[in-house]
Amino acid sequence: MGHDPAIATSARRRVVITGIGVISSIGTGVAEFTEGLRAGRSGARPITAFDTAGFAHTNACGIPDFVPERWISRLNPGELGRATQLSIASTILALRDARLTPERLRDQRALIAVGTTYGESGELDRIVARQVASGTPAVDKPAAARSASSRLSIDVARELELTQTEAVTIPTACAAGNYAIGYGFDVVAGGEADVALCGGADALLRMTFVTFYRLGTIAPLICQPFDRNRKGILTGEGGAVLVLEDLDAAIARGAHIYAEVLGYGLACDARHPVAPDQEGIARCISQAHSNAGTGPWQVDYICAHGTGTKANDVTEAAAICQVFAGNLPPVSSLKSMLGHAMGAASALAAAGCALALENGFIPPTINHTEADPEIGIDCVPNLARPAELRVVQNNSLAFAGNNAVLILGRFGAGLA
Amino acid sequence: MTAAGRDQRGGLPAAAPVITAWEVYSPLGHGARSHLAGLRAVGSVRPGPSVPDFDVREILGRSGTRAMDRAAGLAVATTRRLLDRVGTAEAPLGGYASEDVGVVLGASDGIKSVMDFLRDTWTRDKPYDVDPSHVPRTLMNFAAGQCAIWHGVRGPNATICGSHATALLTLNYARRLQRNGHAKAAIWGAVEELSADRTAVESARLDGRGGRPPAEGCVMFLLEAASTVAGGRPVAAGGRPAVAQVLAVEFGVWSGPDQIRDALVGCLRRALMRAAVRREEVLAIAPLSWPGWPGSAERAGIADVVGDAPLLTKTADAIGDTGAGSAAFQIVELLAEGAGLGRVGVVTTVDGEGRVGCALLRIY
Repeated sequence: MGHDPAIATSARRRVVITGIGVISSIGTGVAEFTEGLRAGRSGARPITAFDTAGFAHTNACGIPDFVPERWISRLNPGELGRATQLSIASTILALRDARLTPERLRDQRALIAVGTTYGESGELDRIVARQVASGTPAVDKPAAARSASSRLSIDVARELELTQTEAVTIPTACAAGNYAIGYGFDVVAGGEADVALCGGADALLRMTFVTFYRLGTIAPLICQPFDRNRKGILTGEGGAVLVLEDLDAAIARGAHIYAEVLGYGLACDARHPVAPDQEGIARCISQAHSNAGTGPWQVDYICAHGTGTKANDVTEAAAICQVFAGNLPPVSSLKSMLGHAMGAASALAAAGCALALENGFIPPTINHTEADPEIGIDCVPNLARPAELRVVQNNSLAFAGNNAVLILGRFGAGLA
Repeated sequence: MTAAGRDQRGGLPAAAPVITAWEVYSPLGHGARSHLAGLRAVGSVRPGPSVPDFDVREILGRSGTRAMDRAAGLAVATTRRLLDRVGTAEAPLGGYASEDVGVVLGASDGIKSVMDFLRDTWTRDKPYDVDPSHVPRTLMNFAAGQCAIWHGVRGPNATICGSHATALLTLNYARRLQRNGHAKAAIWGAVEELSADRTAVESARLDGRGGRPPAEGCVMFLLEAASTVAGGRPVAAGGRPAVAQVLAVEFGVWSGPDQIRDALVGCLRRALMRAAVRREEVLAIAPLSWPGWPGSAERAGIADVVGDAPLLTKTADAIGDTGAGSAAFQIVELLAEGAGLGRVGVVTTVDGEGRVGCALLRIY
């Protein structure tokens, strides 16, 4: 790419995923989530998180049975916004999965990086709703205390009582999960932290629903990425956190290794505040390949951003085709199952990619009825496909032209 | 790697990156010159909490600004000043290709934009009877994206959030982008806007605990690699001399007020060790200095590690609480105080949520 990095990529430490924590509309924890992806389960259901009176469409991929008290013990869940609850709970699941205790992490150098789109905007909605209802400017104090999106990261550290931790919230909208995981990769690869707990969290919010409804992009019932009959997105929620460690340290403690993080790329369209741009996406994919030391011919599967809107799917598929030319691997969208969990979306997808590598299958694009002739890709329609994957690519695109692409590899596949 | 040795424990590489330019909009004025003059005059002048005469559409023009909030306007305008300082007509990004430059902006929740949008959902005929042009600014990454669009910066574009530690977290993100080859240079900084909604929400958050009155402003810096040294001062690739070199950025966490002091002591000690700086080399410290117990604990932690070096708090004392922008203004005050000396300045922060942080800068 013509870059002259201060750290040669060959001098980086190798970084592996040793824990996965997922709270999603198709299952909580690695086992349920994996089974959901393999079975092509749909998280779509009627919205119960807020009143949908007046809306023609009322489905979303919420998690009505998420009980924060099940996971959060030190902090009071009532004093936390829902996105923060999801962030903490996902991290706790990830640490348990990695067989790492908070005590063990306490004196280690750690990065906590949590991506989000709307953060705790839901608490601002509580404040506004009460102001409008009461006709006074009085601010709901508990909601105000919960309303800072900066808490998505620091409250994880406080729940775990960590000390040498850098806790950062990365609000780069719908690519935020990949940003956070990429950041964790750089920090561990560069030897600046022993462990990174990184991913994304977003709650199902009335604000999000209103926004996408107004933009005319909410699907009536289901999400159908890459389908000729696609009708838009379903909003969703969730949390996904990965534990990243240096390979040598992971081996030394006998950790289970799901996959290796090979690299990532970031690029900005610098064109339009909301419309995706083929050139920006293609450039981001190439940056990721360059950073990971892979080429398009090595990628066995692409987990697409795949929102199910006209604008996204055609543009993203064109960018993929531009980069991959004659080497086009299967491309599926987890959003067909999970809806669009905003800042959590690419973190959930990264978790899905790691599990696909580990378990040898490609998650399907469900709800598929008819291929869109404008989109010349194999979207793995409706049924998961067994596949020995070596390298997978996780795309994410966001408003503000914030693109982030992550590359994972099967550990021990002889790539490094 | 030639950076081995000091880098062994994950420290900064021997060739730590440098800050070669900065610009600002603040309650003290438009641009670095006005801000520094205002800082010198503090005591005889009494600035308000807002950037004076800053109307987004007057400053940036009427095209493309109709739905721009104040934070984005401040960030775009400050970035324009920064690029005017380092760029030319032929090389608008200071000699770098557009895809080689990143934008990293520290920001807080856009409280006013979000609440304005939400008010429409509750007060109009239908909940979705909102203005779609108001959607982009409800997202926290809007301002960084606007900086990229307005100034044609196509490298990595990131937004960073972390209460009063935001600007230090942003500096660390920018440093790592450059260090890890994602960008050759980074335009980074932090912004905060003043609004009645932010004032009301932050006041409710404090719930009677002391604080500074809310204020606003934006600082943007250019961070790049040092390629040579001239006259004892690092110089970046394009020939721009360093105004500061980033020696270390460190963070820690406290869970209760009684842990703040120790958390900051540990953080400062790690930073000094990583940068191989002795406490005697420290010229001055710019702390957040939040009123009440957080500031007291911060001062105690500083005294434990670096003794009685001067504490610089003039900016916040004069302007107020610039929120996400705080540590960026602290850096500017250090740069103003230590210019030309080649000594080490320290920025510290203790936010109200649990973070402590510090940065060590060698100031030229």
